[in-house]
Amino acid sequence: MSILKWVEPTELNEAVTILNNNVNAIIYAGGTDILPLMNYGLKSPEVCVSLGKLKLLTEIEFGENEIRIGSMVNLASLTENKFLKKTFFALVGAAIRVASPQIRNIATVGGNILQARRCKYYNRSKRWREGIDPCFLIGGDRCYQVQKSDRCCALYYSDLATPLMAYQAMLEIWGEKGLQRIEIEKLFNRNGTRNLKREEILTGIFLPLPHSETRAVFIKESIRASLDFPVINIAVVYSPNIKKISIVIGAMAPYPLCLSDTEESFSRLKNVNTVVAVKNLSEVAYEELKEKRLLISEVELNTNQKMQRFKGALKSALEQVLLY
Amino acid sequence: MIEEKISVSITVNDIEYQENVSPDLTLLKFLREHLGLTGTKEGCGNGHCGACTVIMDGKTVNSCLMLAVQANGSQVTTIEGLGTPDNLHPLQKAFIEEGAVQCGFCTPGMIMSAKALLDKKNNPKEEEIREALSGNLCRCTGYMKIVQAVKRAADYLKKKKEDSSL
Repeated sequence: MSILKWVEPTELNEAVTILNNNVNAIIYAGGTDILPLMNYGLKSPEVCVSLGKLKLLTEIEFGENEIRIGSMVNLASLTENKFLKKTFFALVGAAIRVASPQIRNIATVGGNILQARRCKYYNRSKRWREGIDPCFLIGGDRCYQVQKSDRCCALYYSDLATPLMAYQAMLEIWGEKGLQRIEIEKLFNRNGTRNLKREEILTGIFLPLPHSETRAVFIKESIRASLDFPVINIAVVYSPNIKKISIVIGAMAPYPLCLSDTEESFSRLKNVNTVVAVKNLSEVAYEELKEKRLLISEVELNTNQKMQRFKGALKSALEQVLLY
Repeated sequence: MIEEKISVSITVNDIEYQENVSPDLTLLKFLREHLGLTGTKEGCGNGHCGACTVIMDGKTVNSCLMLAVQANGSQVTTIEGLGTPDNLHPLQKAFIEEGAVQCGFCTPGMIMSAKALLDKKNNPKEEEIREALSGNLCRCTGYMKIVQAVKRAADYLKKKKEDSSL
C-alpha cells in the first residue's frame, strides 16, 4: 500500500477537479472496502480524495414525501435512527447485518452500495494470486468463478442495495451536469460494470416515504452470523394499498436481481394474504431466480445449495409480509 | 509524485499527539509504531478479527481498517488507557477472575468492545453483550467466559457507582 497524497476537499467541484487531474486518484469514503483491496495489492491509488468534509454527504434529511440519506452517513447512524427503524424496516434490518459493530461505525451507505464485487480468486493475497493466471478483473483473460465465461462474474454482495432497490430508491450523483438523480437499478449494467464515471460522486440516496400500511422485510443468509458476506439476501416490500410487491435478491449475480415476473404474477393473485399465495409465489420466484442467477460456486457452497437457502428464506420473507 | 506527509493531531488516552504521518499509515501502526502503544494487536489486518479494536470518539473501530489521517482531531482510547497493573479497570479484573483470557491476543480488542458497550449500558443483556462482541474473534475460549466476564464487570461498575454516590 502506498498512498502518496490525501486530500479532503470541502466542495464537490474541488473533489471532481482532483479526480479529473489525476488518473490514479480514487474516492475514499469509510475505507473498509478499499483498504483490504490495497493490502492485497489489488488497488494502488496515488491520491485518495476523502469525502469526509463534504457536509452535503453527511446528513439525513426528512422531507414531506421522501427522505435523503447522505452517502457518507455511516451504517451505525442508519441503525440508530428511530424514524428509519420504523419507516424503512428492511433497510435498517440490512444495515444491522453488515459485518461487525466496528465496521458499521466507519463504513458508509455510499461505500456499501459502491463496494467492489468479490470472488474467491480475486480477493486473495498477491502471493496467492501469483500461483494462477490472471483473471479478467486484473487484466487477464479468464473468469475462475464461472468457467468459460467471456467476462468477470464476481458477485455483488451489498446488503443495502437489495432493500434500497425494493424501496425504489433514487441515487443522487454529482457529475458534469451538476446533481442528478437516477434509479438505483440503473447503476448496474448487465455486464457487471457500473453506470458511474470515475469522476462522478454518489452524494446521496432518496427514498420515497412508503404508505403507512407498507410491510417490508430483509433476510440475510450467511455462513456465519456476523462478519460475513451474504450467501444470499432478500428484500421484500409489500404495499397493500396499491397491491404491489417488490422482491429483490442479492449475492446471486454481479448486480441485484429484481424478480419482476414474480411481482407480476403477484398482481394477478386474487387473495394475496393466504398460505396458498405464499406457496405459489415461492414456486414462481424459485423458477425465476433459477433462470436469472449465475452458476457460481463459492468457497463453501455451490449454486444448488445457495438456491436451497433461497427457497427457505423467501418463503419466510413472504410469510412475514403477507400473513399477519 | 512524492509522498506528502500530513500533519495530524490525535488525542490518545487523554494525551494529544501532533505528528506528521504518511497518508497510508493505518491508525493501528500509528498507535503501535509511532506511539509505542503495543497493547492494540494486529490480527488479520483486514477488519475480520477485531484484535485491533480501539474506541474512537465513543465508538469502536478496527484500527487496522482506518488510516491515521481519518482519526485526525479524534479522541482515541486504547487498552493502555483503561487501567494499570496496580489498578486494573473492572473489565480487566473481571476477565482475569473469570478466566476469560487464554492466549490473550484477542483480549485487548474484546475489552475495548466491552468497554464501549458498558459506557452506554450499565446492565446489558447477554444478547447485547454478544452483539457488541460480534466483531471480535476468539479462537481459545469459546466466548462463554468472556460474556460472563463482561457481566461481572458490569456488576463491579454498578457497585463502584453506588459506592461513589454514598
